[in-house]
Amino acid sequence: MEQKDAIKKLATQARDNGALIVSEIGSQTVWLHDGGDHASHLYLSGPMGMAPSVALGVALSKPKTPVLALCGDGAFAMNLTALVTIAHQAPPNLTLAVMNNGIYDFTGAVPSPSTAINWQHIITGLPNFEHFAEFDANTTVQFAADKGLGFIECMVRPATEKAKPFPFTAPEIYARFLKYVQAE
Amino acid sequence: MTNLIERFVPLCKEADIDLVTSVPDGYLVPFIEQIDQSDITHVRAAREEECFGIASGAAMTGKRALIMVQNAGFLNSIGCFATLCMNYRLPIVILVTHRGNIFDKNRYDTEKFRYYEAFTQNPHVFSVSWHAHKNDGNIIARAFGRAEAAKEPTIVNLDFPPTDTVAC
Repeated sequence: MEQKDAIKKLATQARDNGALIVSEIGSQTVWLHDGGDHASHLYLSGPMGMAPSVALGVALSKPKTPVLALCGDGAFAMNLTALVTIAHQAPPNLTLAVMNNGIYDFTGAVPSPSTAINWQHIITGLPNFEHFAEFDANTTVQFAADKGLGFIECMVRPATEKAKPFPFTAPEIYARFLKYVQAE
Repeated sequence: MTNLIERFVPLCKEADIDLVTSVPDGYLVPFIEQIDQSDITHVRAAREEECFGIASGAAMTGKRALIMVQNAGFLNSIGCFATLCMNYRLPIVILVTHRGNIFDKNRYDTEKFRYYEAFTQNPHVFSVSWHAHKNDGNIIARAFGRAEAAKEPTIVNLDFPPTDTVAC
């Protein structure tokens, strides 16, 4: 499955369950937007690796709302300590999803050292994570505020096309997301 | 007159802080102990840069989030401060223990002091000395008021030992 298809499918399932979605800078942000823009999307524009940490802040602040973080494997490897902090807090409404393609897809498809990571082994070693799932074209994921801390790994192929242009500035994203969550 | 340790949680409560995220420093230990005994959400981060991401996420939902790190930890996080907190114009407050200055028994920490001083002298970064305003009321609440009005982060430098007496 290509990343754009995986993100579109996973994001649709998350939105159908009322989830807020935090996307990592680069591939995850442009493909989330490309698959269908929504005010519940918190698109990040920097720095790499912060999506899990930002999503933790959102999840703790909105405990009655499910939160999905869309992460790239290369970016997540830059902030692996976030797994420790998140496991310590263990918000039950948070799900982390890593798009695993072994490359920096948005940066010339240069190979990433994250190919050395076995994500399932890492998550299994953090007992406060209650769920680990592999995601493919046939998977359905339920999102709920009381589901328990979860992790999804999705093996994806490198992109074969460009996403449509991304139109928002960072302050515009913040203002729109804030308005959306405060109206919930 | 009382010391800052005893006043810290009341100052945070008066400032309507929802979430504190920190990596410890010697000056911050008594604050962390006080916060842990309160009902304010406290997120212990494994690394300083995470604090900036966590606080940003909270701020994106309209919550008041306070970061507590040492000056060397802030230096570890400048990329995140710039491209997330400043780029999104987030009204977060960062309490930085500014170690290595003249009031500090660790005056030998010259490099973290010097390089952090250089960064905060940037006119695009707003920071204020708590020592200079230690008897001027609730500087944490004032910092949030300023951050929300200016739509950007505000840094408060804790540049004296928290055992000192204050009038706030």
